[in-house]
Amino acid sequence: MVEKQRGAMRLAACDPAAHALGLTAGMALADARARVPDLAVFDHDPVADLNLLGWLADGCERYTPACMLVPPQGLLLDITGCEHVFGDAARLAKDLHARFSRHGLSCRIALGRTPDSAQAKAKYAARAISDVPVEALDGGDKVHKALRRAGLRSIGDLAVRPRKPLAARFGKAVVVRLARLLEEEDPRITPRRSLPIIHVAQNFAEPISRTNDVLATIEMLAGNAALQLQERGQGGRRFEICLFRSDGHVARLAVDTGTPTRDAALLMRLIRERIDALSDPLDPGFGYDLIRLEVPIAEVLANVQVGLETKIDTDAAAAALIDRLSVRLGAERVRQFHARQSHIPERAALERVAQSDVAKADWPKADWPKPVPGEPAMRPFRLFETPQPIEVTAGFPEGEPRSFRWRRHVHRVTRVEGPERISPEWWRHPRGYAPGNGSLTRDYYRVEDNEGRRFWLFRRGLYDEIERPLWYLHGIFA
Amino acid sequence: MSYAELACTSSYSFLRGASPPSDYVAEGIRRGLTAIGIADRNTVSGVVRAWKALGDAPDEARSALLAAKRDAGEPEQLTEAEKAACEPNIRFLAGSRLVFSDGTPDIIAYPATRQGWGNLTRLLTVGNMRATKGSCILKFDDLRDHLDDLLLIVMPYATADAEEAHKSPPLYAFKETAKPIAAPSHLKLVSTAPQDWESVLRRLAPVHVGKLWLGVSTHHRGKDKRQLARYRQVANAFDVPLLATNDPLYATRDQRPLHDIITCIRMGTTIQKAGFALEANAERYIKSADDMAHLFHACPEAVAETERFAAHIHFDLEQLKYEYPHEPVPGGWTPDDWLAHLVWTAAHERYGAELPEKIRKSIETELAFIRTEKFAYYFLTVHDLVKFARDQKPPILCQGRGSAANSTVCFLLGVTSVDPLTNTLLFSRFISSDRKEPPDIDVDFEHERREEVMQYIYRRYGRHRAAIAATIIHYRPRSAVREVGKALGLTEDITTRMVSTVWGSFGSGPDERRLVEAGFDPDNPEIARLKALSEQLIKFPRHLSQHVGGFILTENRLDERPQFH
Amino acid sequence: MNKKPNHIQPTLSAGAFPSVQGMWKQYQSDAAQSLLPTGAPYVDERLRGGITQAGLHEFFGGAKADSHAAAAFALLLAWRLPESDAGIFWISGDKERQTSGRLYPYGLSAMGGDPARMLLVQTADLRDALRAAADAIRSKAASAVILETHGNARLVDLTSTRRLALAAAETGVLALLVRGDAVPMPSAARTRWRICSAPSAPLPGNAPGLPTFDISLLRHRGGAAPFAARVTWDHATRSFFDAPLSGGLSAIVTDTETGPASRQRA
Repeated sequence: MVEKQRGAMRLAACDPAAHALGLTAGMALADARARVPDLAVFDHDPVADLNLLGWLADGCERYTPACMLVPPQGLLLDITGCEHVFGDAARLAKDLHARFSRHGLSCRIALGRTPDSAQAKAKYAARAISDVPVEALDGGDKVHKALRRAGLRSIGDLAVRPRKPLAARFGKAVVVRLARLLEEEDPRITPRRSLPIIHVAQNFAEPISRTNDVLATIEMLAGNAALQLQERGQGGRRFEICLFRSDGHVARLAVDTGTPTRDAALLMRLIRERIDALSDPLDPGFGYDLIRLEVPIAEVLANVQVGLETKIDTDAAAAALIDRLSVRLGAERVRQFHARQSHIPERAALERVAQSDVAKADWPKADWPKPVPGEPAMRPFRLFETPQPIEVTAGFPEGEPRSFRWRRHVHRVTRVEGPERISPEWWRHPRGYAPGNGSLTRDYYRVEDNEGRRFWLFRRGLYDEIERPLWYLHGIFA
Repeated sequence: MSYAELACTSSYSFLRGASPPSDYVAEGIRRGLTAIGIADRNTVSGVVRAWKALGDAPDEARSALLAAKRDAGEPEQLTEAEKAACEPNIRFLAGSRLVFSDGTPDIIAYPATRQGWGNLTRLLTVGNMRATKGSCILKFDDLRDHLDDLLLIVMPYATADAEEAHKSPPLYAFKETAKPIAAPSHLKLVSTAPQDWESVLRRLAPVHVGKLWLGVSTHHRGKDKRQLARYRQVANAFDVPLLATNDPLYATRDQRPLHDIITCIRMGTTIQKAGFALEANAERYIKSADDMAHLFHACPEAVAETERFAAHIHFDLEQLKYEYPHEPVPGGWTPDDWLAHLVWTAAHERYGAELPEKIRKSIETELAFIRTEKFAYYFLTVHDLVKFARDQKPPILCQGRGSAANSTVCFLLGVTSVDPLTNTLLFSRFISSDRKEPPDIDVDFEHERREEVMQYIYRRYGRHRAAIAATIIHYRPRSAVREVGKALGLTEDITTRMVSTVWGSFGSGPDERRLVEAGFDPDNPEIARLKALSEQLIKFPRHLSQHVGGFILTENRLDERPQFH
Repeated sequence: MNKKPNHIQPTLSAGAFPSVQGMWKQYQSDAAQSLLPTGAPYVDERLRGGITQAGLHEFFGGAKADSHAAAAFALLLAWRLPESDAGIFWISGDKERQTSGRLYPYGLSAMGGDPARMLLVQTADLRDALRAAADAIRSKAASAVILETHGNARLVDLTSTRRLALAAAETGVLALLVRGDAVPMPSAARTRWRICSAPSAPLPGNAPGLPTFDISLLRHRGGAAPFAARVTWDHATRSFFDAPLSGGLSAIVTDTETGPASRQRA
């Protein structure tokens, strides 16, 4: 790999074969070519390298969700608690190595109890931390030279020395780093993704591809997760299933619930819905060799027994149905009525998504007005989103409609009541407070035609507001 | 057809009416109504303004006409006909809307006579005494005890808010009535008050024959016709006539936005959240006789009834004159004679049998003036107080000050201490420019012992005849901008910045230059809107407060005139 | 020894001896299904009590313009169910919303309904709607499920309706199928109706009155004979009542007619 360094094309990196022929990084390209005339040279593309590293990290998520990039060539995996999926750490490392080889990549894997020690061992290809050279301290060339002059060449050499004089002579930072390398201190890594609260996984020696098998596995994992949630007194609000294909591809499915849950059966139903609802069906390729279930969002869910009262059952059943339909159809298609205080009819009633992050208690329990005995409904059964333009014959100046034409059908008005005058909400326009600003008052009429059908009409604009006000049909009465 | 609007709610119904009484009068004149009646909620504090506005109307009309002529280049003279045209042809009627705390619907009361006015103010006092300062708690039974000479318009709805009861109402016994006022009880009596307008009619129609009406309005709320038919049916059954009213909350339709704003201020909400608390439309303004005839074409008699109603009223505010207490004058003397006696006696005591010419002349001039203007009582009352104070052991220090020092009479009565013999007194300084009102005599009493003075006043005249004058606090520019800003939903930092631009307390609103200085764009429609609405709110009454130290002493019961609080 | 004849041998597992009470309960649940009366005496008489609460019923509109009447009538029927916490599910598709508009909760509450207890599902197509309806019926979260469809959809056939009917019978949910602008075709619905809007008895001032319908029972699986009637809905009692066909004033219990004298008596 070549790139421009210090004014000349130089080697950025060499493969083992090139090394064997005596080429090193930093060497000028011209020199390199002189030694190896048929040298294969590629442009160094750091961005592409980084992307590749990221892709590799994605694949490594199968081992643990806690992965960190160490550019340009490193990956740090925190496999605490994850080794058992593969048996033990050694087997996990073996699997990892095999995976890389399959992709045509060579890698050096090192295990350590702390990130620093593992990283150092990998970088310097040492089996034990004591073999790692002092350069691993990252203290700077001067410090390294000084250490070597003092006869300290490896971490093992430093380990036996008292720390205080070392700190005094070479600086505190060196001593801190030494402690980390020697696994005495243990800073956590910063993973690429936020860690889920709970994650359970299952791997397969023989990758599985049959849907039933996949679902059975997920069900088992769901049961596990439910147990963990129960121990924590929590319920999950979001569940993610990661399906790792043997060829490295990862598929993710997510399921949200309106209320926290740890009901494994409910979860399975929702997951099945999610899978059914996929626009492109899952393609297992050559099979999934790892399936993981994560719970990224959980909330407190007390250990309450479902009571014998039907109310709780109904509410729970309704919530479950809402969740199910929301997953299948999309949350915005499952709605409830919501009131808003406004005299403008179309603004006064909304539909809100039934499954909501907002706790139900916060929803204003809408107090819909009670009907008055003997009073007919003053509002229609159905409202048109867009008021329908109609042609009306009415008395002048502000007379009642006598007949109207809608969708090419003429209606003769036999009963009518009105007007119910609704003035515009003047505050919604900056100059609405001043007279003559152009906003229009509506005069609504309830009408019944000769065929016994009842409509809600309005005239848009008073005759002293606009020269030729237009009429509309806004709704239908029962 | 002629029409009188009898149910105007002015800005003196705090935060309910969006027009000052003068606006109603002006609009009534403009619309050619035969009479305009101001009936504010549990108060008569606004009627004086309206009455005054009507009195000023001819002058204003004449000035306007002259100005128009000047602009048109015509000679600035008015013909007899033009002068006559400037005389408004409208009556002003003073009343009050009784709002009850026990569920009784609103009833608008107009006094038919001077006695009726006394009844009305007494009734309102009963309510005021029961409540904390500024509020009024009325019960239906209170009305029943004060029915005489009141014309009542029953409204088919109630507008009461929750009120706070007085912690411990002052207990005092009127000489005339033996009825004790019960201490408030924690027991809640089962309400026997009528809870709907039909019950009100049922209870009042038999006892108040010929003086009861049902007030009806049509505001285009969808079922006007049906409702009107119902009202007519029920009212007929009780032989109560319908009375048409538009129940205005503002004088012109353009004032609806201001009304919405004051509703928000009253309810402590913003215009965006107020929702159904706001009126659905802008129909509650002064309408013409033709408009009302059109709206009530199904029962035109309701419109005609308004004129019949006005004809029943023989009371005018002109009839209210200030009446002083009689105590300071001993039996057998007239006030002028007694005053003269006191003054001449004191003069001889001080200057001897032969009075200096200067003294004699000023006494004669002043006494003549006092006799002409009928101010004797006033001087005697003040003398009485001062005498009491000086007679105490030890004497309470008191001193008259201000322009009163220019009066020889005051000196001789012991009110002031400026000796006219050795000083030049200018009596003209003492007399106020408005000769209708007695001149101000300010007397300072020893601060620590002023309670003794107050107690003396109460003992001598009775609590029901002495009161600390209440004045009405208006919105100042700062408070107007702050309240309107809040109601418009503007954030606090913006309203605070706007408030800080308002120049002093007596400016008339945000100054444009200072707006720019504060970082506002005066062309920004939001700012323009805030400015426009605040300017309308300034000068609106906000609440009542005590006037510092002023006492009112009267002959008749004080609560027959202004109201007690 | 008396041997029980085979044909009255109870079909229970050998060894279990059923109690008389248990048998009686089972017999009862088979025979007497809960019936929902409309409240209008003539209609309920013709229905022999009412419509089966745990079943599927379908409503067609007389003319295309009557699709609203069919929808409204179905909803009003659902409001006749005894109060419970279970709600009413309204399922319709994008097409219905486009042509007919949205349910307006203030109008619903003015007719005596409780919009807070309703859930609305709007699907992209009919297949989803049918499936959602079936789920809703089976979930026990609903006391009534109303499915509104558009046009003469072939998908609403014997098979799909049978699925709905069986689910409703199983769970006791009232399932109503509103096919306002379709023509009647074979279905598994227990009753089939045609609904038209009808003139109302006017209120004072010649104002339009209460919701009034001309209803015709076209088919009844239980054997009731077809009939036609006119009914009006009274939101005060949440019940239908028989309305005269000639459009004269009917005996509506309203305050508008009674005067103070009669109120004193009352």
